[in-house]
Amino acid sequence: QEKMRITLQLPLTSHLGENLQLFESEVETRTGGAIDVEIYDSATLYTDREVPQAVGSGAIEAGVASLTRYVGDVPAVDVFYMPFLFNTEEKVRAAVAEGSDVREALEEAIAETGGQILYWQAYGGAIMLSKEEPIRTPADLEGKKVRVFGKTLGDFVEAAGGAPTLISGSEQYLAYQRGTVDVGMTGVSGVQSRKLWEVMDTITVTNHANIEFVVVVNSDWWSTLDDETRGHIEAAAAVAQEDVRNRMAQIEADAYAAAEENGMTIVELTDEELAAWREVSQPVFDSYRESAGELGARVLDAAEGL
Amino acid sequence: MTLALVVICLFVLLLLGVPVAFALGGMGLVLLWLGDFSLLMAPQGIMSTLNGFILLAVPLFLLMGNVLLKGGVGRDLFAAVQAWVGHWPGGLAVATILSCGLFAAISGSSVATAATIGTVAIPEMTKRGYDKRHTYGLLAAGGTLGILIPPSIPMIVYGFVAEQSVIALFMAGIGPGLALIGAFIVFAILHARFSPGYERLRPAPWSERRAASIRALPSVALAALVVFGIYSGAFTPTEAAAIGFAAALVITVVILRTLTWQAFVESARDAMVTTVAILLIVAGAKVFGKALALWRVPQDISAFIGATIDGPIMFILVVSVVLLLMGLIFEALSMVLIMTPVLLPAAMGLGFDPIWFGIYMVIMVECALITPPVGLNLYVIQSVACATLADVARGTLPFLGIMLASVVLLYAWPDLALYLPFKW
Amino acid sequence: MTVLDRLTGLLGWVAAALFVLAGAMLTWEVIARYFFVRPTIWAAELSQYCLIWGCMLAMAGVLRMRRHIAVTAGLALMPPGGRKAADLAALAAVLVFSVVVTIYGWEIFYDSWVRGRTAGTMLDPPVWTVELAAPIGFALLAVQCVAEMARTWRDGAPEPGGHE
Ligand code: NA
Ligand code: NA
Repeated sequence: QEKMRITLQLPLTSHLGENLQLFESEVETRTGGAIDVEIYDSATLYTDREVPQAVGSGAIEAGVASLTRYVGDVPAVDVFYMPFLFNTEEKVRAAVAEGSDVREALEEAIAETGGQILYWQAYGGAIMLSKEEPIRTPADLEGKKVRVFGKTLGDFVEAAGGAPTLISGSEQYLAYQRGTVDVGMTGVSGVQSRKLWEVMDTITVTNHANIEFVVVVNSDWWSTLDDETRGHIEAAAAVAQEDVRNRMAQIEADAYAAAEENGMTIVELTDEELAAWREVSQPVFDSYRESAGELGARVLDAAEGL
Repeated sequence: MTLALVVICLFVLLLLGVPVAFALGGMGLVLLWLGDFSLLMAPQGIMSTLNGFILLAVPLFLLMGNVLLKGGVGRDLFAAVQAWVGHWPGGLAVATILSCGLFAAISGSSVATAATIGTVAIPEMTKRGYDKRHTYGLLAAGGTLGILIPPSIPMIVYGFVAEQSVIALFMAGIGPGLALIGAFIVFAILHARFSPGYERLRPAPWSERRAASIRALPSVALAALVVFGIYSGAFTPTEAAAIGFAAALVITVVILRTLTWQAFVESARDAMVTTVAILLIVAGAKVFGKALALWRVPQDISAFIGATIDGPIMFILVVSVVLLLMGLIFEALSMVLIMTPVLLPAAMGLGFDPIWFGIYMVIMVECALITPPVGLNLYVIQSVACATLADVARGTLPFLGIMLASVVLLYAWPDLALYLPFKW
Repeated sequence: MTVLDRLTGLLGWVAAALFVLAGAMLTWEVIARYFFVRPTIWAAELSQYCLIWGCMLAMAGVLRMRRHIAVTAGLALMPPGGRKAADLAALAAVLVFSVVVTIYGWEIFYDSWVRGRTAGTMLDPPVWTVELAAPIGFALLAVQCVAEMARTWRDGAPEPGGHE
């Protein structure tokens, strides 16, 4: 019996945790128990940002990481954080579909880190949170401190005239409550799990970035498995991937409904407002083209063509 | 079986005098090796510990506390409080507790609080005929307020391992901290009433009260700046520590003019040594914790607790007994580090708030600091007062009782801790 | 041995200076944020690197001072001969740990160096600039361990003490 240990930052009760448990049971039934999947949740082994190195070095067989954690190895992964490039579900689905140019190119590059992507877990779009007034246009960010989680999102906020401030997930609630930052940024399911409606009252549905998680396996470990086992695991991965992608729309809808129920106002952007955001975002695309090199240009062109 | 052996080996290593950091890290390595897990986890665990932004608050709070300490702020605080309440029945004892509480608001460490106030208060109290054991106990216990009233290094460490907001923990410590100060004061006054051997002070003249207060004012203002700065969201705990350090320099160099270059250099060096010693323990515990997680120990213990312990009251009773026993011999920080990952999942399963549980752990750690044979505050008071360990330990006994009573109060009324961070 | 002691002693001062520097940078960060609404992108990150390098460089010097926190209750009960043996055993344990961490820490550093991996943070420096701290720090600690063992072998165990 071969052990497949998977490290996960989030708790088992999160939708990524539930999805990983689905993967576990699929693998174990398909391989008849030859592969024993063990999930180490809640960052007991590694935090999100350590996963690429941990899996790549073979310290652990597999792990779940936000795709953006690979930005240090493959700067092109932040194509999903290019402002408003993936602001509809159709575009996201097309980009992450098996065999799409975007996905293939990124997976190929990531495989060089010693870890390869087994499947993608949908996490939804990034939204903005505020008090009293929605964030309709870049003018609403002017001179405000904005929570971000990564360099590219920081570039975006800066381009829009705001002051990006890195705040960790666990300090988010109090940072909003106490006004350490004026504007929040998170995935909408985070609003629900952290009860952010107690401290913020408006959600602006910007979907300015698309958050993807990836399940990565160590390449050396993967190549020790026989073809049949690998086939079973890949089939299990396909089931889990499809399941979470299909459920994502419902999860987000539920999160919005819960937010509304708890007194939040949900604001959608008009086409003119969206155009204003697009206009200020150009520097982010330029700096992406500059830092992500040839691969970045290829991926970005493919994404824009979707 | 393997695990029982590992626990025994850990004890042997500790008793041989292997530094706690390396005993924990070393047993972590052994567990990784036995379980056929990658040893890469050892350096990874160490680096990820030192890469935690919140832990950067540790050296900065230590720098702030050391600078103030070398600048004579402890003496000033005690003099000011004494001028106001020294003439009360048991007034010196009350002044001592209040000074501990005030110093606790600028220092993150119990040992520093006990040592600083102890150095000025013990000679004064014994000179005025206060009972020796009572005096020692008062200082040892009063010093533990250092980690319950923010800033607090154990809270930073708990926040780090439990991934909880350190700001919320700091705020949650204030209520129980004030309650303990109140209880200690009541006890000190009662004790004074029934032991008339001490000499009461004359009320200090107003001029003296004013002069002493003015001298202490900048430090009190600094404590307020740190606490309200964190509370209002103006800065993160780490930034508050940096600002506090800068302000401590301004106070001791510009306003009081008590800090020499030599003293500054010494404070920096002491802060460095303590930081390295503390953070290596955190790192060693991280390696050990990862290995335990791979062996599924926290999960198994959680399941065991779930299956055998009936309800939250039983849980807290059992855990308190375990922590008290552990606290006899374990160093305070290692207790937080080893027990939090094991206990917190079970506690949360039983419906305890993780912030509440952090405050509970800190009070239990305070008990560990004043129980023999291993209790850092006992050692500090012993060396400051040139007393025997037995005398100091006996003196702390009633205070230990008060602290355990505060745990009962905290259990019955969780808002004592949770009101400030979440409901105000 | 004195050359080594001097080196690790000096590195201790470097660490102390790095921690003070971290305080200065974060103070500046707060000022920049509140008075100019321009949070820096470097203060939080560079101060973190000060902490990492400071701790790693100072470990050996702290061992020389015998200031790593240890439980002294057991040692106090032993006769001098027993203390000497215990001290040698304790140092040997630290030595083994240091050597293992040096080797694996080097592997992590080397991998990032070869791949040209960057941190992916706001400043985005190569990660090896941070990861190199572990093998260097633990190698120094291992060497200091050997020196301390020689000292104990010659002069007997130092007096227990040196808690926080
Ligand atoms: Na404190
Ligand atoms: Na104790």
